Amino acid sequence: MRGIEKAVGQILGSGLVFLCLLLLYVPIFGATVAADDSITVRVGIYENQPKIFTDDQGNASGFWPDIIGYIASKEGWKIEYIHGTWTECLKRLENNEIDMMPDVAYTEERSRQYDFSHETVYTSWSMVYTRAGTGIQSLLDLEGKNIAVLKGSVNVEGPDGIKKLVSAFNINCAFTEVDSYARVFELVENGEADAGVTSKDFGYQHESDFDLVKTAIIFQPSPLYFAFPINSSLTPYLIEGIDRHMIGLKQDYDSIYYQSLGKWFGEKHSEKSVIPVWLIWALAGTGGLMLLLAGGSLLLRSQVRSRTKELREEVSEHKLAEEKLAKYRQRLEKLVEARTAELAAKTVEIEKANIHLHEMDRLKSVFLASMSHELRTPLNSIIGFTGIMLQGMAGGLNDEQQKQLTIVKSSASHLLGLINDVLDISKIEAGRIELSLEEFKIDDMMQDVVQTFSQMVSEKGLDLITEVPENLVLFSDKRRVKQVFMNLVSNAVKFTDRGTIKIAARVLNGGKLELCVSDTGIGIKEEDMSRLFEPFQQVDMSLRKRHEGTGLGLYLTRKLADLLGGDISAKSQYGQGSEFIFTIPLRHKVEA
Amino acid sequence: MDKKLKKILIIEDNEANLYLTKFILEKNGYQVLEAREGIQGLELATKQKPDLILMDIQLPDIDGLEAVKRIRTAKTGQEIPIVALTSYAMVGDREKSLAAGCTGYIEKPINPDTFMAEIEKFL
Repeated sequence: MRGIEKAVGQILGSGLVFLCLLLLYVPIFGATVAADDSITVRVGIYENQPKIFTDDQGNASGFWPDIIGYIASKEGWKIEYIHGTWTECLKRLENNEIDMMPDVAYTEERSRQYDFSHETVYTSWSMVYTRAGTGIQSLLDLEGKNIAVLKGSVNVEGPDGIKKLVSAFNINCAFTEVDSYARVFELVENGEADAGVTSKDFGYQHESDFDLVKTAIIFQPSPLYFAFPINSSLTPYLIEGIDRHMIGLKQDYDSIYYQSLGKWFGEKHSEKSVIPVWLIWALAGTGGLMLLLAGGSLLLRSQVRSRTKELREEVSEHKLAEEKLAKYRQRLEKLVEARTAELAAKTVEIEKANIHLHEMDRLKSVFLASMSHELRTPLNSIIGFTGIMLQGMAGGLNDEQQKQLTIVKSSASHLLGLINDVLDISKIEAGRIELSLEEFKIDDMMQDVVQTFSQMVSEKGLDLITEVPENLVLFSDKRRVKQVFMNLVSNAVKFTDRGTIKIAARVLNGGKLELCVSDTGIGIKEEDMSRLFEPFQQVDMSLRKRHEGTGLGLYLTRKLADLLGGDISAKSQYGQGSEFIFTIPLRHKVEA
Repeated sequence: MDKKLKKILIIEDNEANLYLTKFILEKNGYQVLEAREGIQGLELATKQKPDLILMDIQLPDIDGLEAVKRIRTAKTGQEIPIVALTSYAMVGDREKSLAAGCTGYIEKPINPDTFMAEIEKFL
């Protein structure tokens, strides 16, 4: 057997330079830590005799513990075995609860979870055995043959298993699946099967018991390594130590490595003659190839590992971002749904409110109409009888009666004015005034207005000047325009005790008429100007008694001006007089 | 024609206002017929054939506008001037009255100084 290992050793030697180069990638951490004798290494142990197991005395035993014990004694490590099942051990390794796990086959998936030592510690593979004289030597010889296999084994069903292998070469053969490797050998021995598949370890131990011979068909090699936690600071140091010793152990045929292989796997290094030369080369070739592959993959592995890590981070970042986005989208969708529902509810509410408002509006109109009617009916007899009594129709009056009835008449007129103003404002605010548009001459209207106040003007001894263009035609609501003129002139007369009242009308650019009513009356204080056109803001409350205004006149005037598409403004010097300017379009714009 | 021979029918449910109008008209030399309800006014109008009718609009049984329409459908009622004398002074009230068949429209409260002049335009 030594011959095989020698050949393996040569291949190993040729790969050594390459491996040494690879080792430069491994961070040399040991220099400082190695000096510390007290270092304790926690090693996972599970039951897999003879590779690794707990013996009758409760000590760690088997091939792997032999190697571990040797390296630990050389490095001065204290080994603490942590017992568990295979799965538990791997879990602990992942969680950094143990520092090292032996007997781990390298796979792509595992390389993401653990770091691996670079030196193969032990390699297992599968083999095809046959009886002497069947003539089966290579894979192609299996054509048409019946092969006994272990049911469910990786070497049957796995990605590199026998079934995949034969189908890759288009070989048709039958498989007899049994429950143990012993049964596989039985079937081959008694002729029920032409060949049988077992693990190399079983085959080596039992080939002589069944009088079977090896074929050249060797497949599914699985190199076994030490595995380490990926994030442990101890890992680079342990990997370096173990790899260094493994290289040495494998080079020395008298080392504990070969002793242990012989002891636990029955590999008898002295029995050269049993093994045909082709097998030596086949194995050596396989081993060398594997080493080269392992070496080459080391380079890639570290790159792949770091790139994988980067990618994994990128992927997880990407995933996080996507999840966040999805959450935002969900939230948005929920918000939109809620808002839509709210809006729908609001729309219904608004529709209800609208119906309610229409009803309220109708009731308001009814109320206004009946208020108007109910207030006017009694006023009719008050004003009527007062009038006819003052005319002497009901008989002569003495002076006192005459004076008192005059007061009744005046008060009743004032009350009527108030009622009219309130109703007008209500109607305007409710949008219920319909303009009745017609053409009329502005000078005719002004003459009417002046006529109305002529008696009062002459009684007060005022001068009244009018400057109104002749025959100027306005197209608007005659009654409302007159109402504005009346209010403005009435105010001027009311608040002027001496001097002049001037009414001037002129046409402005842009088809507008400007009416200016100025007086030399009491004027308006600066601070009162802003609330001049507000309701019940007759500026000087003390004037109220003297000047019997409703407090609604200018407010209504402004409302009317707006209604007519015009504008009204005022200028005043307190104590000097006031000027009110009313502008109105010459032709009222009729809405389409 | 002598004023004394002219008959004016007042249809009015408010006593005070009926008295006021009647007083003014009689003082001015007219013969006054009076009704306090629409149907009663309608009968007087068609039977007595007055020279003028002063019609209140709000009445206890049928309203003034309805009464005017009915008078206008009667043979004898087509030519009589009817003046609405009403406290309804809202927008459109004048138009409604004229549309129902009224000849004129006077808003209450009346102006005692101009009232007779307005009335006599229709006689």
